[in-house]
Amino acid sequence: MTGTWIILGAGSALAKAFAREAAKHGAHLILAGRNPQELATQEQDLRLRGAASVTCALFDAMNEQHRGALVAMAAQAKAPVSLYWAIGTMPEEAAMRADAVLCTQMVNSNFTSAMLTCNALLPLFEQQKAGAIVLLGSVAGDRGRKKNYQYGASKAGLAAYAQGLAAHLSAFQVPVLLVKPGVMDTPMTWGKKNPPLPLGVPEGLAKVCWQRAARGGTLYYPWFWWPIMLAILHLPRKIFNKLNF
Amino acid sequence: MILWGQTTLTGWGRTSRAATSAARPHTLSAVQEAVQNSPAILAHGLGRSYGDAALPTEAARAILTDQLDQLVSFDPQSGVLVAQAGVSFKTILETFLPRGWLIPVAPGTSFVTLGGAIANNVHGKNHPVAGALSRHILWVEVLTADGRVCRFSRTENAPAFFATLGGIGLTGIIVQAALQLTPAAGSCVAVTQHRCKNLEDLLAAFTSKPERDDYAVAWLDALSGGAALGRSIFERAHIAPGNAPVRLDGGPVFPLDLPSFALNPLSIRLFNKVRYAWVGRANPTLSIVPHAQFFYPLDRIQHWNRMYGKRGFHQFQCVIPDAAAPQALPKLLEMISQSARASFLAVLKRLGQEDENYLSYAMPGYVLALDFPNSPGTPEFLSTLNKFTRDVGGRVYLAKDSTLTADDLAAMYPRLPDFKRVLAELDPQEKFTSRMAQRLGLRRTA
Repeated sequence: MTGTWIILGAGSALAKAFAREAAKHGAHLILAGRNPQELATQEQDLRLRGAASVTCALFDAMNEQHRGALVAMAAQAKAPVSLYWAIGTMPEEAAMRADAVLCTQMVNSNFTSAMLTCNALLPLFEQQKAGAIVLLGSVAGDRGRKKNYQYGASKAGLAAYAQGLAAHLSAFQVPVLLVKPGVMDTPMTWGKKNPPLPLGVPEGLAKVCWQRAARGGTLYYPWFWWPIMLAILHLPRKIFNKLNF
Repeated sequence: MILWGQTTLTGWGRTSRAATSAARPHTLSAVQEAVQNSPAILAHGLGRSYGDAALPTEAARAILTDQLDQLVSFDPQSGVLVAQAGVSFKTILETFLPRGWLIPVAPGTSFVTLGGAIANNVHGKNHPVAGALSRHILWVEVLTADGRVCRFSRTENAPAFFATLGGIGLTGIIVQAALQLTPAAGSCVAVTQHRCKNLEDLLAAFTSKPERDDYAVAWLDALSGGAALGRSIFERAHIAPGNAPVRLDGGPVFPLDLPSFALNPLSIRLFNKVRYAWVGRANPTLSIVPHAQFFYPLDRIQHWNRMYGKRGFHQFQCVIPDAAAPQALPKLLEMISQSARASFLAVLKRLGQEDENYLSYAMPGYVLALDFPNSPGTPEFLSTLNKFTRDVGGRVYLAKDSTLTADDLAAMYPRLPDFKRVLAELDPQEKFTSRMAQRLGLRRTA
């Protein structure tokens, strides 16, 4: 699946790892994010790792002009164009309950931005009948837990959108992969109290995403989060509500 | 703003551990901020030095360098690669070996950072030909105690350059370096293996090295004594054409700490017997193998150090000078075999001329490296081996060490006073310090 990969939220650790994986396979890369200067520091690294070309673009998914510019850029890019979307924030739950602006921002970046970007790129995907879409979800979206249900709600929304998008695009041979990472070894989790499970490694996730992109579907990473989430999903409500996690 | 997390760092042998607060910066400015805000600090890469070389002292913090992992530039004409210190050998090989460029020096694992490899001045099975890594480093950029990033090379502050190479992280935080890669005929290795019945056989094999076999190593059965002392599999090799995929992924993860009785003299004897028998009847055998299979066999099992259980293990690695080797090597092997402190991997290889750095480990002679499960009495036994090495004019390798004393170090490393002098100039406040530095009297105890 070479051609061009648009990487959104390219400043994040997971997106960075994916960009490197795509570079290794000689893809053209468009890194888009809110801080193109910071993205530019990755440019040379990605070229050296094998990227055919690297372009950095200013992109705020909530800005209509930016979305338009991205669509125009994608139309010019080496086909087939694929999308890796990894925009997201995880503010403190209590802070979001107290701050409507913060809460809205979180939903916008974790959910709305994916929907608006995919909607904008949809005609392109319908037309090229190739490429792939990878959306970064979370195990937190499987069942709203006391500790992070606002964040989880945004990811649950994304999961429903990804399902529908996949159904829509199946007629156009464009697979949609929803990735649900468990706790990953990234700056987001660094130094925090994490569950006593092996942390997922960004490079490993990137590799799996690259291999699975052409197939689409849902992917848990590391794999053991699938049985864990299955168990959590089926916990009786009475017990679930008493748990503090 | 720097995020400090609480974490426990260990050496690869897991005999000593340090609970410390650590930062994991992505950018140079974040490293600068972290260093500025810490009275005492130490860089920690992928944690592959065995003892306490990469462990901060009680009062000190750590900078984990694995996120400073960008490739900066590569000149396809000259083969000079500039990379940030946290880039691993794995990344360099996966990226450049398929394009025909090799790191000229290969330590036993590819899971080391460039910065860590420089700080330990690693060497490989081709030391007599290629020297240690230091020979291939053109310059290093070090964040020093005064907060500046300084470039050191053979022409820019050479004393600081030679103190940084093999300086176990005490001159500052290595942030970037230029490494001369070497053209490679391919990503395969042509290996010739044959069995040696005893030490005499083995030493003869080492001295009869054919021209293009730059790499030579022997796997020793350290439990056999008497007439079979030095029974081993000798391998010599050279880089061969062919494009086997360069995969250094690490295969299965060693899932748990084995109970401490799992590795006992019996099971290890069995392993060594099988391994010895495995080298086919055709003797010698020639095989062409993928790069990683010859250079990094242990990388195929992630966390293989768990094999030794929670108590961990020590690795003893010394060099015995040529002049003393004929008498000293049998004596050393006999001591080890009699101790029955079962050692899984015993490796013998050769070193060439001393390297330019102050704490150069190399001298023309034989290197013996073995693992010892950390059982009661092991550290004391290692002290005996240290003393023996010191008495025959040899050296113990700091990247593996956890038992040397300050006196041992001074006796083994004649240019230690120069090293200390440069350290005192670069870092008078002793900001950069480690448990090893403390133990070996390289820094004040604090």
